[in-house]
Amino acid sequence: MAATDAAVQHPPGAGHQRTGGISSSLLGMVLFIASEVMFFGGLFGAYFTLRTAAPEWPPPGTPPLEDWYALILTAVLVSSSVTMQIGVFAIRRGDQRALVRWLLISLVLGLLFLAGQANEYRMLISEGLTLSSGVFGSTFFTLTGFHGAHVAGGAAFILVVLLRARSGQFTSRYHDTVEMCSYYWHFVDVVWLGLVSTIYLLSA
Amino acid sequence: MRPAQHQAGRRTRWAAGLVLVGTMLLAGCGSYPGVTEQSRNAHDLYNLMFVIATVIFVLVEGLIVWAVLRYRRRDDALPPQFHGNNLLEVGWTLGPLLIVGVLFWFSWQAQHRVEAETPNPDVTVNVTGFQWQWSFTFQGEKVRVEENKPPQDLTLKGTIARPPQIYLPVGRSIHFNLQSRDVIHSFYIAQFLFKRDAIPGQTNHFEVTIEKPGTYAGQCAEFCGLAHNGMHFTIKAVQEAEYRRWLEDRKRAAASGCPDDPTPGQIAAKQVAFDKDCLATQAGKPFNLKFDNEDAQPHNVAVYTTEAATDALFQGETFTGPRTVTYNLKPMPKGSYFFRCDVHPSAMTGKLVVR
Amino acid sequence: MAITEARPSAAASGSHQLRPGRHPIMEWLTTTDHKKIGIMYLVNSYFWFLVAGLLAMFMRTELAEPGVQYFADERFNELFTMHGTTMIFLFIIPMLAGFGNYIVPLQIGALDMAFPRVNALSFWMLPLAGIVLFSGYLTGGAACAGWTEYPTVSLQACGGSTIATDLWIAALLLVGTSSILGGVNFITTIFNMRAPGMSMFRMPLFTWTMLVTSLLVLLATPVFTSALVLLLIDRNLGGSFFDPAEGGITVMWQNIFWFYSHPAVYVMVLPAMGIISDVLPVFSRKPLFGYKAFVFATAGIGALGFSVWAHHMFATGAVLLPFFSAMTFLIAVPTGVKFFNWIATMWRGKVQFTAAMLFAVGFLTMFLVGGIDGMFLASPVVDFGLTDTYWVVSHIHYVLFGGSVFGVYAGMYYWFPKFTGKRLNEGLGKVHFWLQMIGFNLTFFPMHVLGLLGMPRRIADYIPYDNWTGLNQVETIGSLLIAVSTAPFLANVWLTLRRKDRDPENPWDANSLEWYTTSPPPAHNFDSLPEIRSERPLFDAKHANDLAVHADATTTTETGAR
Repeated sequence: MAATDAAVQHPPGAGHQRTGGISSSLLGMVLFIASEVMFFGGLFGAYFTLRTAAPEWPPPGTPPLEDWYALILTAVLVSSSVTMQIGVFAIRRGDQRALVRWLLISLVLGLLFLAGQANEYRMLISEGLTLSSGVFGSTFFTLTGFHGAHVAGGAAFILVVLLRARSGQFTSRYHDTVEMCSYYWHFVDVVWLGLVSTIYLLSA
Repeated sequence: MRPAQHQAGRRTRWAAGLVLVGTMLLAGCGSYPGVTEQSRNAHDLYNLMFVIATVIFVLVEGLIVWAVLRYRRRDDALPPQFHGNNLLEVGWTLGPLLIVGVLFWFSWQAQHRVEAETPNPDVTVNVTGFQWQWSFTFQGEKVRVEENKPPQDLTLKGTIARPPQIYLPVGRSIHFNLQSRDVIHSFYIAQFLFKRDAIPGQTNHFEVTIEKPGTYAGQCAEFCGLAHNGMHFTIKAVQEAEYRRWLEDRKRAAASGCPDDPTPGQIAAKQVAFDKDCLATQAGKPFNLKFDNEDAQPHNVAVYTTEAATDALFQGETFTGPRTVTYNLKPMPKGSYFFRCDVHPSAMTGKLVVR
Repeated sequence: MAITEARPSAAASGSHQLRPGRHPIMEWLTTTDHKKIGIMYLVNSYFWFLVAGLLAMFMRTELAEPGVQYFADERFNELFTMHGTTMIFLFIIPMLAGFGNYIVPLQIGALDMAFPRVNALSFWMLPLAGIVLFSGYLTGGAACAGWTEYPTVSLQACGGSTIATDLWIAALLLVGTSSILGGVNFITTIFNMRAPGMSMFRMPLFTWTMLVTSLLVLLATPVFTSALVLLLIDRNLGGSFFDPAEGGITVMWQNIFWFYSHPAVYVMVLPAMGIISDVLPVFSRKPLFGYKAFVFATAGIGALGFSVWAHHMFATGAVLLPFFSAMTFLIAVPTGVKFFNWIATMWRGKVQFTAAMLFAVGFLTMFLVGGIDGMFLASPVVDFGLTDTYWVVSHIHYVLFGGSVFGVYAGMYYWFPKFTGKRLNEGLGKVHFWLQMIGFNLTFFPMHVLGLLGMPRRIADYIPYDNWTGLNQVETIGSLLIAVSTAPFLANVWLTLRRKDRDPENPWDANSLEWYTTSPPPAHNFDSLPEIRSERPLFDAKHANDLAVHADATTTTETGAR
């Protein structure tokens, strides 16, 4: 994709790339994120529909979710968003080594989040909450599961950007891919904030 | 130039006439007038919309046909290059807005009348859709079906082979409650100009007052699986006295445990349904049951003590049709039992009465 | 002007995508050129159109006679499910996207789409989706719960196959992803790749409709994806979203499904409207009447499209009736504006009856019927009687066949010389049009009456009530005529491709930018670009010295139709 972007930014011959405004790759990323927002919108819509219709929420017999655990995960993910942005600022200044450093930290934090979530899944499943254990289990695992998959995808994206950053492919002028990656990572972060506030904090 | 124009004009009139005849044809074949008090609202609204629709249709199609015929290319000169006209455009924004505004208003008013329900309806019928038939329960019409159990509301359950025919009184308010046991069905009677879905996990309701006596065909209108087209039923609208007589007749039949079985000792399976939902035999005697499987699918007949189907009294051989097998059941004590096809435990069920 | 000069050979165009020595088949399989991808979209979509049409013929055969079963019930249920799914997701939506792929970059003076490789990916998901969808037949039976796949029927096994519905879901996930990526690509292309001078309000209407369509796709399709995922979880992983026995809500599917599928109707119709809006002015030799009104009407239809989904659910008893009824009625307003503007475009023009123009006028006359019979369904009271009957089947076909398919053929006859440098035969085109017009009306008009007489849709057989049989037989004859009408079209394409001589670069004397370059265009699309000062740059160039015409063309609104 990146090679394609480069071709678009520097078309051979008479190019009509618009001057000023947002670059095509960033615009494409923003649009893609908009569609992802609608995807999660559909899932949240289903969640609220089921929750409103249920006589009791969470349904009786549901193992309690640990708010403090979710808040730790939140702290991990939000700080990874911050470190990601510091990395973006670094490359805007042209500091390639700082970019590599901050990308690495963000990646580690992202993986830490995934490990934490996997651990929580393990605990809940052992307490009897599964995808097939009723409405609460279905919504919980579907929403957090799809978010987790997006975090994993984002982490893979960071890894690719990290490898390219190590070989010095980004400069203060050409680092659209880093920006794209950061947009996506922030989006994943925001979805998590939505999840935490609805599924965990508003569950009581 | 003139004769050509004249010819074009004639052709236009001819085309416009054709269009008019077409719409009149539709009007001629128009909808049923509707046999319930509520459906008159739908019919009146339909007619109003039809008139407006016809006017719009003739006007717009006429303009299109006129434009393409009148302004056919006859030379290569450039026509006037106008790009728009604000006044006209505002006009044909406001015009349609006005029309749909009026239509919405009438529709809204009619909707209040169609959706209105009386606090104490004269008759309440609970309808349950299932794959693939209907059952009708007449609320408050008690009948003792089994000797040592409290009386139940009269329930009539149809099968594909024998769709139910339900009598209802004219001039009385009839309240329907709709439920579904499995998938979405839709309770549709064409001459009521009305349908409402029967949705699992949700009870829908509506009210009608039938004005005109007659026999009205009903059918499931929401696709519900394999035998969707077999979910027929009939509503027979009669005077109150006849309705009462019919009701008493049905109650008597129900009290006997297993009403009118024209072919005792036989049962058939067709289109994943039994042809009857009730079998009768005598206590203490062996029961020979001839099972005719007409489907190219495996079926059987199994008898259980209760609907929970935990304790089997008899499990007939499962086989694929078309074929007939006679099951030999051991003598059973007096009582009411449950039978089903083990392959289709939700679609194919019934009651075995041992007298 | 560049267009009259000698055509540059493919090799001379110096494309970086053309590698010498590569086999032509490999060249097509690996291409990222929007024109080649566009052609592949069109060919692939038309193939599925023929497949789905064949399924429709089977259905009409079955329904010609009550009581006769050529197809078992479960086969019939598969037929209408696969017909609807294939027509909508593998034909209409990708077909219009195919025109968009080829035409949009040319209309705005771009070299290619913004993301050429993503574009290729979008395309290749489609044949894959078709294969996945139809592979259900290898598992004992295809998906069978209707293209709407309402739970809880769609949670059950299907005929002989337990996974046919899962394959259906997988196919639609592929189509959805393809659509979303395509939407991102179109929007980015239109926002970022326009030639100098090509401001938003100078873009041809087809490009505008593709922009609005792409926004609808971008915002609606992912919601459908979420519903598909939930259904998949319910079916395979024990989820309980839609099954009330486990606490789920059955009608929730309908809400999510129609939140997508109603805008999807506009995805299927707006680009066809765009094609019509490009074709009508060319063959009337006039500018489009009320360009900005068109743009706003298109945007209005798109926006209203998101607030009417529940009018498909009036009979569920779970809908706020007055709101959705009012919004649905409102959609008639921008649609009406478009109709009057189309007519005014032809008014006092010089109307030329090419095959493309015939199909465009056919669109106007037929889509109007679909608009009017849809108006009846906007009223809940009338809808209670008509929904889920053949009235609805008629309505959807007047919109999607009378609208979209006529629009697709208009685009086909109009742009075929752009794709190949050769015009399709006009005589065969006219035979095609009239056969299709007659067949279409014979097939679908009687369905209104059947709906009024109470024939429900999706039934494999019917009791010979009243006069259902006669009407059904007329429809079957009509559908045969539609099938026959595709023969002259296919013959036309075959004969035209074999023809040696070429037509002029701009055979229709059209005025939008795609006709400025050669036909077919070189790999890099344009050798030069004209100055763009209006939505008709070629007209401006031709009449640059003709002050009278030019003054007339720019002082827009004063001179209206008398």
